[in-house]
Amino acid sequence: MIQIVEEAIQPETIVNAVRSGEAGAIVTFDGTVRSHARGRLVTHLYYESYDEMACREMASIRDRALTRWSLRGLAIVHRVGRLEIGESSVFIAVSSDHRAEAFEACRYVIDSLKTTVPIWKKEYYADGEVWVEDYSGRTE
Amino acid sequence: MLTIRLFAGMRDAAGTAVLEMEPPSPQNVTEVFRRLILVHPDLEPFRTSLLIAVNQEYSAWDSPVEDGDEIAFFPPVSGGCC
Repeated sequence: MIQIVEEAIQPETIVNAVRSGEAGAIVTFDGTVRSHARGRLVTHLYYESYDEMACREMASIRDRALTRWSLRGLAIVHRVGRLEIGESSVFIAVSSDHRAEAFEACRYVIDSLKTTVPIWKKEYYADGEVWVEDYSGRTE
Repeated sequence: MLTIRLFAGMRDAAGTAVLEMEPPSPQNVTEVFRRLILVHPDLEPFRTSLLIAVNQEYSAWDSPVEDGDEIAFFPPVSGGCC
C-alpha cells in the first residue's frame, strides 16, 4: 500500500494491510503535526505533493527496503492538504517474521522519505507562514 | 511542447504551477531554466538549491529534454514530520 491521501489517515487499515500469518511483528511509525518549530508556535500545516512522482519515490523506497530486509509487508501513506496540530501526516507499517528487521526497515523508510519524496510542508504561525526548506527565507 | 511544473515556494514565486515551453536549443535542463527565469525572474534565487525531475525522475542540469517531456523544478523536499 503506497498512497497520498487528502483525508485523515486511518492507522488500522494500514496496519491490516501488512498483517500476515507469517509475520511475528508489525512496527508502525506515526508522524504527527507538532505545535512548535524553530522557536515559533505553529497553528497548522499545509502539505503539498508532486503526486505522481511522490508515489513513484515511495514505491522505490519500499522496493529498496524489501531488497535489504526480509519483510512480509510494507505500507506508506502520506497525507496532504491542511493538517491540524496532533494529526498524522505520515504513517508507515512494516511486518516481518522477527522484530529486528521491521524496526530497522521502518526507520529506513521514514529517513529516506524525508530526503527523496517530493512533498513540501508549509508552517503557519500566528503572524505568518513559511515553506520549510525554502531557502529564500520569505515570510508573508 | 515541454510541460514545466513548479512546486511549493517556486510555485508561489512564479505565481503559476504549470507552464508550457517549446523545446529550447540546446535541449537540456540548463537551457530550459535559463528561458524560464527570463519569464519568471523571481525563480532565480532558487537556482542554487532547487531539485530537478524529468518525467518524474530526479535529473541533473545537463540532462537532455525532448518534446513532450515533463520537467519539474522544486525546492528541497520537506515531507514526513519531526
